[in-house]
Amino acid sequence: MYELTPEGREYLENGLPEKRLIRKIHGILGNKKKVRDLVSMPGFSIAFSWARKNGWVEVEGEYVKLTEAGKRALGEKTEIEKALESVAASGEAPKEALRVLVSRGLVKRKAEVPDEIAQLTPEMLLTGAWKKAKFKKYDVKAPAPAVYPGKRHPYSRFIDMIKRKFVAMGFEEAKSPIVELELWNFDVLFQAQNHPAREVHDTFFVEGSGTIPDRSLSERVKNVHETGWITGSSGWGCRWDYRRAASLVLRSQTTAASARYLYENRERPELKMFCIDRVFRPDVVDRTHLIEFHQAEGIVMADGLNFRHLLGVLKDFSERVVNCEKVRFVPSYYPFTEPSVDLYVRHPELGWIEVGGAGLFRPEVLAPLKVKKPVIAWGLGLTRLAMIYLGVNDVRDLFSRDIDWLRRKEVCLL
Amino acid sequence: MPVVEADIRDLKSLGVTEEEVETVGEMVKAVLEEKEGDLWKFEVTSDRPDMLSSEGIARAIKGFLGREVGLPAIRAAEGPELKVGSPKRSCVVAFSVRNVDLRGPVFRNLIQFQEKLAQILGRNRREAAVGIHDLDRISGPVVYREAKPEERFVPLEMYEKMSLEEIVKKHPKGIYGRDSGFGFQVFEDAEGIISFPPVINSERTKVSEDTKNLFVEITGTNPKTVEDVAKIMISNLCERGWAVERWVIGGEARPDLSPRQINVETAFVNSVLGLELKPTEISAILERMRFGVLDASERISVLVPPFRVDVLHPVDIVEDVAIGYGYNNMVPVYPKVHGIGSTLKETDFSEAVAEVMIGLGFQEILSFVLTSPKNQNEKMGVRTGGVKILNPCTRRFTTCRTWILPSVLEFLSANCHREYPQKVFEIGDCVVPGSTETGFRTKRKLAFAIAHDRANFTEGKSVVEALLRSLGLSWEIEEKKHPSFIESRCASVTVGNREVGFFGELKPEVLLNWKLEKPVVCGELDLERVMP
Repeated sequence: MYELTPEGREYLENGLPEKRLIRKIHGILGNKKKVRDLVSMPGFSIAFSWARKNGWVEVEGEYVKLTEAGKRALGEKTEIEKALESVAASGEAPKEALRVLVSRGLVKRKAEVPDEIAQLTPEMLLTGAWKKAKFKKYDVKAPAPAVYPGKRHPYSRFIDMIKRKFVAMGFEEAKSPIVELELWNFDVLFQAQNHPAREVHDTFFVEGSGTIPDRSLSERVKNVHETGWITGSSGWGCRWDYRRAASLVLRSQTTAASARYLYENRERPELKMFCIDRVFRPDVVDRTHLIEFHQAEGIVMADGLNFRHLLGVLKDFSERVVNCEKVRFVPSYYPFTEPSVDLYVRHPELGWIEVGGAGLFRPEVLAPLKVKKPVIAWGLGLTRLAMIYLGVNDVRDLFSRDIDWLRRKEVCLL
Repeated sequence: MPVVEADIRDLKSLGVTEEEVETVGEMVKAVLEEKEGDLWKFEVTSDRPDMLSSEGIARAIKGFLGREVGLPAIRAAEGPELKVGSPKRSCVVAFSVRNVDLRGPVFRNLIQFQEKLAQILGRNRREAAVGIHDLDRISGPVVYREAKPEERFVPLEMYEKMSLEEIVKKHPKGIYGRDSGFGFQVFEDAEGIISFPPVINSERTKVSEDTKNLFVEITGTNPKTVEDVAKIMISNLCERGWAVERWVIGGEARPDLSPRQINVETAFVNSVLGLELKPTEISAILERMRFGVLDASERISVLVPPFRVDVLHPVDIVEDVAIGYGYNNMVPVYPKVHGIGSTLKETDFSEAVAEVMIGLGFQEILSFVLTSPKNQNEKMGVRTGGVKILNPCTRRFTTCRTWILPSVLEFLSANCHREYPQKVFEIGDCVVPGSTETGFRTKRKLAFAIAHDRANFTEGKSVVEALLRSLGLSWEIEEKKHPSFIESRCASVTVGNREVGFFGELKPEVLLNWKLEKPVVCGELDLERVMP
């Protein structure tokens, strides 16, 4: 289907310019007129070139002269004129004439209004064309191409959710540096300088050495290690080496963050702190071991806290964070806590699983930090929990480098 | 935690049943891990080296059940004299054990016991190590003395004489000792060398299941550890009713096996445990935990048996009260401690940045802080100074990342045959030099990367500007020269006259270093510097 352009409509009403030109010339003496008298006529060059092309006029010196054909043309409709009328009436015209009309910009193809709309367009909405058409039926079961949203990494999202649980329980977050003094990573935590955890197969040592700005702290730690100081302990009975304490390690336990936080906040009447961060330990990396992994750690300091309070916190945590109500407490050992306990929870599918360790900080830890109130502390093995919640069987997949897995992995809720 | 294998037949002969071992074990710090026929494997906590043998496990279970209570009978007579020269490994204790019966699982138990003690308590034989010999093959007085590397004897499992030096060089156990710098010292009887501690014993005095009398020598560098190992061994061997004789060194039969006395206040016990136990209740529990109690009053005088080398402070006694009472018999109480929960500003800010990046269609990734100079420097064409780990366990992880962009590229590199476009980001800690007590600082950074056929600077700039705008910052973009990026297609981001990051199109060389086959526009932002 075709329709007239505004120019085409004008010509339909007032005649084609070449027709207007020959009418102007006709009837004048000799049927000729000077070119310079004609050029002022609107659209002269279009009119002249078509009139000449049709053989209606010829140039005689400075005159444009009507030919016999031109005279005849005055009395009849040309093919072009007929086609113009035909397009105006029916939207169609003979092919050859149409081609000329389109090339002269007098008609154009009419916007298609299909019987069935595949894609709704802004134009259809604007013209109202959609009203006349039907929408093409879609096969809703036909496959659609996959698209992948930007998402959090499942494990980092899991960590954020655990943080949210701690916050909901009134704990404030703390952090400690990755490169740490042995003092904070071990000595303050009453781990003897010859403790096996301080050997090369359990701790990453870093080149260089640091300083301990608080010499009175290191003095108190030295005393408690060597003789038990004022705590009533016998201490480890070995010489304590300042240089060892000032040596550098990669943080091997988040308890270092607890110790720093306790010391900074020792004057507060009570506190609840948590820390979730990476720790570093040499190992052979396999499906159950990483050399860099996350630990979650919580402490509560307040007057009158006791072992039953610790069990209360662990039980509450199992219910809220691990969603397991059945717990079992098993005696354990950590150098910095006494009594110490390991927490097992009953998982609906996996049975009893160990999820963390806990205890009351030893007097040998608290006294050098000048903490005067009891402190309960616990740590969770976050990787184990994350593996269960994310359905991962190989711990290395928590740090998966597979973009397809990340793209397809569902967003997990705790 | 140390793992100990105990033969259930042996445990039974020591007076406990299978069911008791299964149920009570974990309550007294010997968690049954698995069974392989008669061989049961236990995880023992490292504070209780006295549980590294069947005797110790059985003793604890019998006590817990109230079948045998109070201080165990630990007696040792005075034996012959051990002459000591001036060896560098100067700490030494020796004792003999008579009328032993090592048949069946007992022999294996004894060998494991001495090995585990030397490994765990003796810190891999450095502080203390044990040698066990057939006493009946030893003749005449025994001397412990320094030795010359060329002295010779037939070591265990060998058929010809070797010099101490050869043993250190060639014998599997010697090779281990060479690294530890144990030095040269020997035990010698009338017939020659019987032991080169802590490396190897002689074939001549080798112990077997048929051995009837034992000679045990313990040497080391830490006098307390050497004595502790001796106390624990003697205590456990006494459980079998064997007769022990402590050899006399410097006029004294050592170690001293008398119990230590520690006073524990009843009020202290109750305040730590949140219980209201009477002195008599505490005292009954402690006797089940194999302590002796002299005086059950508000101030309880506790006698600590010689094998309980873990007891440093009254609080250690309190834990035993808790264990004897039963952790699972205590009613948990949630503490009423006030606290307003909060996350670190850094955590909140990281989450906000992640939200914007996800909105821009980026997938978050998670990498290790541990990395290698190859990834951090060489592949990127830069030199950064970071942490040097002195004892890396693989070449892949010898340092900590100082910048996070290489982590993101490593990720792209692992996914170059996956569907493009790939848009990823990571927010994580880096370790950079800084003026702190360690000389290093932990710094939170963001890196992003876009990879596809037509990735270019402009696309990266749109992302950077969208992020900065969303964070409410005003910024300047300036041309920057950076060895990882194509010249004139790299820019720095400045906020308040401080450079906070950079981005650009990676150089083809860098792309090829990572085996990447698509153009990549990427960048890094120091989150600490843009955090409000």
